[in-house]
Amino acid sequence: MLLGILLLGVVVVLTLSVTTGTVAISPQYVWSSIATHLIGQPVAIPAAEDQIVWSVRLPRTMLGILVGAALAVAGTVIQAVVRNPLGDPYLIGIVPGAGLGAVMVIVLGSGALGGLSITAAAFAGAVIAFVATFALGRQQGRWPATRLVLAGVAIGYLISAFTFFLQTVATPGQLQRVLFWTLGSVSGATWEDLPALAITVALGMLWLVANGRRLNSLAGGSELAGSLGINVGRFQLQLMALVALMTGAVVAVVGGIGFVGLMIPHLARLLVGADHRRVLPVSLLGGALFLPLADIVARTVLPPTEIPIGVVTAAVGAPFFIWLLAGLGRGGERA
Amino acid sequence: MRVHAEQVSVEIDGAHIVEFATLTASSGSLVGIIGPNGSGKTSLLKTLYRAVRPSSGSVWMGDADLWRLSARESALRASVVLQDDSSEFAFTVRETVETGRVPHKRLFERTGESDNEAVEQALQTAGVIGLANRLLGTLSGGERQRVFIARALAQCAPVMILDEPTNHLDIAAQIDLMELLSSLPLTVITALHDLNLAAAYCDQLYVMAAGRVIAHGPTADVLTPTTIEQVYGVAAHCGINPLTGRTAITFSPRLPHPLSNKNHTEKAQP
Repeated sequence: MLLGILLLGVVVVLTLSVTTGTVAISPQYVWSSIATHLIGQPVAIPAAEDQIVWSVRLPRTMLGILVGAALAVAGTVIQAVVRNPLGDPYLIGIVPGAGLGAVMVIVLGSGALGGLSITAAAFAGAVIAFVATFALGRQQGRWPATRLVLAGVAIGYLISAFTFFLQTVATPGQLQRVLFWTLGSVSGATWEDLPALAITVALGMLWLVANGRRLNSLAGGSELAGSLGINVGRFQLQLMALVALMTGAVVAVVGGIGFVGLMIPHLARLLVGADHRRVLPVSLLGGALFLPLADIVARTVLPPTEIPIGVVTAAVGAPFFIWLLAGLGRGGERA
Repeated sequence: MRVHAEQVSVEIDGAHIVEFATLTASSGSLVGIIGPNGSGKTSLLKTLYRAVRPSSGSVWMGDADLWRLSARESALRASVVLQDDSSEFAFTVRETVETGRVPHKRLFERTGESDNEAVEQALQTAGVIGLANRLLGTLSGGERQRVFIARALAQCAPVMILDEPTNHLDIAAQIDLMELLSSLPLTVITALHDLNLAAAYCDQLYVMAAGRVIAHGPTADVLTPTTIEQVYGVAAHCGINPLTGRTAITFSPRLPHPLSNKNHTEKAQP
């Protein structure tokens, strides 16, 4: 029921997102353009509109959906692994690592990094930071929650020191690009950005839902999870490698978008409780709903300027989150 | 299922936490491990549920060497109740108990009829069926401990290992819990702080001090004023609880005695 509503919401937001822009396009045009390209229906709308829908707004919206879904799912998993409600891709060094990679390319130039693109450098940075965090957080073949968080924070600060240093030697033009990268954007999306991300999210999600019960048992601590027959070290590594892959791929394409990975999992838990078999799908759809919505706001609030999507996710998300925390989660019983 | 730890030692960073401990729990018995803080009770227990690998010695679950089993196989033999381990997240009682089914499930295997039955039965036996939809965080300490026992029961393992399950519980909850444990048809091994609970409920006792098992046997034989004074350094009197007919122990500071500093075997009973 809830999943159905959320899925419907995603479709509505998708339609809204594609209709909205400098040139308003009717929902009918949107869907007939999609039908044209997907099932070969004869073209029934003007070519200019079709071009805007299919080549510009739809890939952008789809990217937003995938990014929101991936970040929300990643946040859910990180929170379960570190047993900490503040878990998100920032906390374990992934986003700071991607940031350093991107900033290096922006400030030092692609040539200084062997011709790496911003996307490739950001992904490499995310993976390196994740590996460093996990190497530091390891203790006796497992990753104790507190140690992992401390390792992530330490690595994050270390990386940020380099990032900030590079910013002090950057030109104003470079700084502007760094700022926009740091706060994230789904503009400039192309269809080529989507397949790898879609496959990663889909396969990752399938595996995670199959492991929902085992994720639940991590909440009791690694010793308890071990007594339930889980090879805790290996499971933690699998989970976090998947998370690093998902968020690394996302962040490399769209930059740092905060708050989604932190907030959406909590919203999902407020709606359906803590059981990961329900939280994961609800998080996925919640993220897929929220991010394109934030993108609509980002490009309509101050036309013709687009504000970074990270500004919107924080500005819209935080008050909503505070309201929810204040009002909900007090009941002792859930049907 | 019989549990047997043979000459188990645990060494962590060069410190000898447990030294040559041997423990046997016969099938269906309730075995208590007592001893002062830091005597190695918890570490010995950890070797029984694979949380700590013994530096020497072996642990047998039935006829299987525990440390040669996979994590999953060992989880099918022994379940564990740790000291209160509720997390930040709002799991319900039923969801918590359902995690007990993890070792019975393969990846992508769905919840089946046998899982639901095991969970229902466990909730029933532990007396928490009425709390099934409550959130763990809203329960009292005693109720929560029962939920963790229900999870262990849902695991359907023939052995249950508990680490000081009565800690922080009020007296009624302590008695409830021990009644529940002694009614289970399982091999139960539990560390206990409260000697009167140990005296009233355990079939066999192991007394640990400074990492060694210094006394073991049927509860009545082990819990003597002499042993208690030797291990805990307090005077004790063992009488009969007129309400239950079971052993009841009362304590006092060590009685002044000219030789008591070194000679623990002196008569402690007034």
